[in-house]
Amino acid sequence: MPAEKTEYSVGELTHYIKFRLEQDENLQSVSVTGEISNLTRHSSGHLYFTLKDEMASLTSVMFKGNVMQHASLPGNGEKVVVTGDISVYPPRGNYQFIVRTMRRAGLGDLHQQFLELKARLEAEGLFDPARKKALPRFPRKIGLVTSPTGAVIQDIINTLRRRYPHLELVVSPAKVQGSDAVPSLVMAMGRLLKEPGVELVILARGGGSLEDLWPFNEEGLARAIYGYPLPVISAIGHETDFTIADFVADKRASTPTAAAEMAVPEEREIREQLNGAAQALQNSLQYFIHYRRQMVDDYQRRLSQALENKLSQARQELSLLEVKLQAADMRKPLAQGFTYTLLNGQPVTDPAQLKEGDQIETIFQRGKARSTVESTQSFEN
Amino acid sequence: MDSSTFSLETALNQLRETVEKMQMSSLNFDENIRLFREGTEIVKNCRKYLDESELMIRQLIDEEKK
Repeated sequence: MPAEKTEYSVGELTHYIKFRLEQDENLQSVSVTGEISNLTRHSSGHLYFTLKDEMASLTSVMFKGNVMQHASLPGNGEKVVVTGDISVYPPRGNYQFIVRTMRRAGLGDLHQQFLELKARLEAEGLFDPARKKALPRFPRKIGLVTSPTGAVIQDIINTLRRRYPHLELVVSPAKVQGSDAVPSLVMAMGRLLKEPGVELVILARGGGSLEDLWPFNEEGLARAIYGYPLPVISAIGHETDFTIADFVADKRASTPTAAAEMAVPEEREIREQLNGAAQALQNSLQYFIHYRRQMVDDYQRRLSQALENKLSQARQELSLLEVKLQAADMRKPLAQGFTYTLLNGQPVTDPAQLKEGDQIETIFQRGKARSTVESTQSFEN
Repeated sequence: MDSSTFSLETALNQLRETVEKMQMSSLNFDENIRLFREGTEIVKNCRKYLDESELMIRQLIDEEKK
């Protein structure tokens, strides 16, 4: 700026200030710690807030593009670490902090580690759904890795006992927090492999702070779960907590009780289904037998019917033959002197059939005679 | 009847054939009587087999309930 006193417009001066501030490397890409207040989310998607500490406050803005890259953002009153650049907003004549990233202070380091490890293990394929082992449908023996004290172990034991009373449960106790938790958990899992017949392992821990749950975000445990030959159900912390162990495990349960429900079916339900199936089987067999009986009865009826038809045919033939036989016997009376009379070839049994002048034939045993009727007379009865 | 080799379905087929043969008008009476005897014997065997099967099923069900 020239040494001489010159008159500037407000715009010129403001732009000079903006230029100076934005040129200063100490004010660009800096991280600032402070508490959030006056947080407003504008309809444009930008986030406006003030960062402050005991000494000062800093007007801040996070633009929509950066907001969208954060899964969750802290609220008013929370201590955060933001990274961004100092800039000037000429219309208002104020300087402000343009925030690019924001994380909660304190948790930040662990959270960062968590995200990095998660990204690395995911890229390596440790969370690959295709690598996840299927749970056995009807396990006879399962292992439980958890703290031997506390509500978790009790919840799981109660749920397993209620649902599946015949299950054999092997508890392998482990430390679930602190610096030696990971080796303790890995050893506990290893002990279950020496126990013959274990088909599935539940890895459980109750709720706690991020620091408390931290062993379950350690790479050592993640790799132990990944390389474990048995299916693993994880139930770590509360429903909203997700740990690396949850991502690597074959199944993630939101609570210890849910893990137990996932591990075993309800025995009562299975028994009911089985009974239903047995009943259906009996019914269909009984129906089958009933149906076959009807068929046999029907065939028997048809056999009798067919025979009776033949029988009545035979009877008819027989009576026909009987008539013929009787006709054949007519020759006997002729031998004794009886004759019989025909008119036009038809037998005459009553003189009323005849009238005067009819030509009749009389049959004898050894011949016949032709004659003409003179008169007829019927006998009175 | 040998119940280990008896086949209900085969027997029912034989019965059907027997009835059809008896219904043919060309067959003589003696042949019909013979077929009727044969058919009646098959009916008896079928009933015996069904009775035995039903009994066996009842026993299985009772055993299962124990």
